[in-house]
Amino acid sequence: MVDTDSAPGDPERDREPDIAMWGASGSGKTAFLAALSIALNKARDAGWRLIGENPVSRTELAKLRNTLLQARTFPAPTEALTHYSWLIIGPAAAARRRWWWPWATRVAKAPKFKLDFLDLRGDLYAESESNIDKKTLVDSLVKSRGLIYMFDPDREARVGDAFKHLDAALHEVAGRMLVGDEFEDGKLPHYIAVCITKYDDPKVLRIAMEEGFSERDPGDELRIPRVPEDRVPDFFRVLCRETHDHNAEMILDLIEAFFHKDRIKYFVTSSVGLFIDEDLGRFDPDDFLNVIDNANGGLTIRGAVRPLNVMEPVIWLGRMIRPGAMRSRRWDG
Amino acid sequence: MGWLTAHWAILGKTPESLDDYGVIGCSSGPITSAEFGMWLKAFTSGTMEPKALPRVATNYFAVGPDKEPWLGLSLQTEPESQDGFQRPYAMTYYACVRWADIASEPTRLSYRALYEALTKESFSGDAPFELSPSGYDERHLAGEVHSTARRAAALLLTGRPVCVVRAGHLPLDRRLDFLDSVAALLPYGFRPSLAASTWTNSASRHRIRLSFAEVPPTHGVWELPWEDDDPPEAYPPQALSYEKELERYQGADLHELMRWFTTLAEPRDFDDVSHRAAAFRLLRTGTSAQLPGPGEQRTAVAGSPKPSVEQLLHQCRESIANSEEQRLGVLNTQLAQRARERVPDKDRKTYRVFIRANPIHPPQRLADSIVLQNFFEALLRLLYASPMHAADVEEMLVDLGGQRRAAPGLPPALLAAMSRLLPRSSPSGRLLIASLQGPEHLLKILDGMSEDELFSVAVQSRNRKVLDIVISEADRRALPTDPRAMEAVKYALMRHRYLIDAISSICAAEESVLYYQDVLQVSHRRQLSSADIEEILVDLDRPPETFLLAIVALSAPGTASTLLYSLAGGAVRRFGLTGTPVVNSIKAGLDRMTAPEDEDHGRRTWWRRGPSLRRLKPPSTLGKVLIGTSIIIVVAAIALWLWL
Repeated sequence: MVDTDSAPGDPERDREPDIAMWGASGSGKTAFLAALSIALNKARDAGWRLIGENPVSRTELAKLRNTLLQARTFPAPTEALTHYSWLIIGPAAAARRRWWWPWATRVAKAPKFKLDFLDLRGDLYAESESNIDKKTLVDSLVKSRGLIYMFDPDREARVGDAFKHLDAALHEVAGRMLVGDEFEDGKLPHYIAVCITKYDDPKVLRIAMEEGFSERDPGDELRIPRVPEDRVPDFFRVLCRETHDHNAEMILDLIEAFFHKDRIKYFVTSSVGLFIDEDLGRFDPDDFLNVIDNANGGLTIRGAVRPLNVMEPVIWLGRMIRPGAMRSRRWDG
Repeated sequence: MGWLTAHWAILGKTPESLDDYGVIGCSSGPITSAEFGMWLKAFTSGTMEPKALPRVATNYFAVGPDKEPWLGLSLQTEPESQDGFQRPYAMTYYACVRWADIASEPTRLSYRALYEALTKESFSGDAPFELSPSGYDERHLAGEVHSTARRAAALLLTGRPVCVVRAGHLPLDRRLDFLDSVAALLPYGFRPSLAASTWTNSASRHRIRLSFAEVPPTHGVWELPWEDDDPPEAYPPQALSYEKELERYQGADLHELMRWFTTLAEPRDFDDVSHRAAAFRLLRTGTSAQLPGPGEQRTAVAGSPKPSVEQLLHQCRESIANSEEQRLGVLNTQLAQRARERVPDKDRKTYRVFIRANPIHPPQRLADSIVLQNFFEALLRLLYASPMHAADVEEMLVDLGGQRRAAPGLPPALLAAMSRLLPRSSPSGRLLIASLQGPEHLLKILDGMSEDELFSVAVQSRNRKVLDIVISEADRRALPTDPRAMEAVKYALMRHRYLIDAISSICAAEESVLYYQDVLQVSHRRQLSSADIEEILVDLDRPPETFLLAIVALSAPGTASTLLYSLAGGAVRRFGLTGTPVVNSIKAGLDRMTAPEDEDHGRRTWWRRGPSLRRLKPPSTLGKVLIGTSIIIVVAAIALWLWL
């Protein structure tokens, strides 16, 4: 009686996302997507834009931006599988002259690629296989090519269910993809950006600073401490040791067991970034809290939204899964 | 409207909780907390947006072994508190009622009435609600009908969802009235497949068929701007004609039309092309037969005496014989009304006797008639209690003449009516109906059943035909090339006691043994080893002797001792002898009986045997070699002698 597997009458149901968000409830998946367009706009290599490919995605993008920039709060917990079709347009290279026709310049193409994102309620990963939305999700994961895995150290310290969610879902996807002969090397074919979220959380930043993972980029006027790319996996392990769940230490091993090592990249991210006092003009280790409690018991973003490492995972995945579209002289990753 | 029992649940979070969305309270009864959670989440309208709250939505689902259909309505609000991550969240208050309860009521239930009844409830404790919703008010609903509602109803019959846009200014009440008025312009039976919502988020993959949204989903949906008269692009002609037909009804005519639609309460599915096509035809042909046309004088029937069911059946039979489709349509309404009323079992029997004595033979001209299908549907509802079980279907074959002729000889209209009753039939009834419709239909039903459901139907129905279907299906599934499927069948059979309850109640001794052999072959696909026998008998309390004979018939060599031990062990347990001294003597006897021959007892037995038997002992390997060599030498010598 109930058509449980599909939206009624939709002929485009087979269209699957390029990138699926992966992470527990409250790990910051939707906030990450909300910060993506702001991150692109604020990129040092100016000229990056994120636009919705259709009216639905445009409306949702505007809502997400407004939540962070106008309402200065975070998106509500996602309740349903949500699909965004977004177009990322990069800066065009400078006009060039052709050697065989030097008196006319050639207009350079801007890198442009379309990415479909699938956002979802985090607990869906932990639900049983008989759940009809879970089936849809696993189908989408099987067909997607990139994953953004969000690891929230704060949630892990309080709830400690990241391993359980990841383990269950990975085994289901692997069960669907690896039983046949298509992937003979026994690894999933996806590219996965592993993101440690909420770097702006004092508990996370303090560990990074106290354990010596953070460094300051001399070229950065704001002097924000960052974890260098090659040290992120170690930072991840340290954070896992601090968690509520002893299994968390196995998360990295689990990821490396299921994905090709050269298709995994680690990022330390923050959707809203750290607070920078405008008068001081640089990072203050005694005053960096950018998310504070409001009078209603909710959260408010205190200062400017300066996403950290939000566009980088997406651009990296874009380069990996849409290599042709990313050929730009001005973008080198 | 009378009292309705509604089961309820609350989906949400407790303040400051780190938990995900879940059912935080529900009534006890036929729907579990997990089922509530699954169906509420499956029909979410998208992530909560404060400006869209409160939100009201309807959904539908089926639960239990009989896949009983339910209709539900939810109200989503935003509490003041935050969750443990300091995020706002939504609370969804939900109540649902059995479709059978709604369909059996003389008057109908509107969404608005259910919503108003739900808002009066406290959602505490664990007892179901006893709702007393207000009656179906055609007059109010007709007042809400305008061009957008007519168009939405027509477009729903194309099978694609309808999304109303540019209606952001409408308050909740008007949105809800709109959903109600659209549903009222369609046969009432479509409601078990109509999910509607006063708001949806188009970026989410929702299952809402009729909704309001800020922007429409990108694909596969009719975008319907509020009170915009421009027809949508590629407007299907059939939908246009439905809309035009609806336009002809205004004022009192529209009330009559809506009232007539409420009488068409047989479950229909928007995803079923034939149901949608039937709705188009119904409005075109049905209204001319059963309703006065718009503007025509209404002839009051209130004062005329009510004909008996037998009289009605007689008139229907005459109309069918004379191919009077319009008259049959009018009679159908009355017959359907009688079928909806409470029919005592003894009356059903009387009607069945009447139909047997007065068989119905539809002429070829009416072979594809939708009106004839409606007649058979009403007739089936009248003759057999809902849900239809396998026994009812078999009785129906006798009553309606199908068994005297070959099954494929059943009138197509009767088969079509039976397929409409499928959702309201019990699983065993569904299997038999599907088998009458043909192998493809049967396979479709079987594919939707797990092994446990399959065997449970066989055990519960205790019907030979169902048993045959189930064993054939198990045989089809348990392919030796698919060990996982074989295992699933094997363990499900074990859980259902190898269908002993069904087989022993249907079959005599010899037949039972044959059925059990079939079952054991399906579950093991080989001669039974000692381990198999032990596994089969270990949890089987009092297996019938015919089942044991089937085990004997299928046992592999060298399994006698296991069977003997298992039987003796079962008997000891059954008679409560465990731990008594007699068990030791039984065990010693068993050991003696099954001891190998080279042990003491065996040697003593061997010693008692006579020398003649001893000579029959098979030769050793060395002996075999010597005998063979001697034969070769003798043959060679004879050949040499002959040659020389």
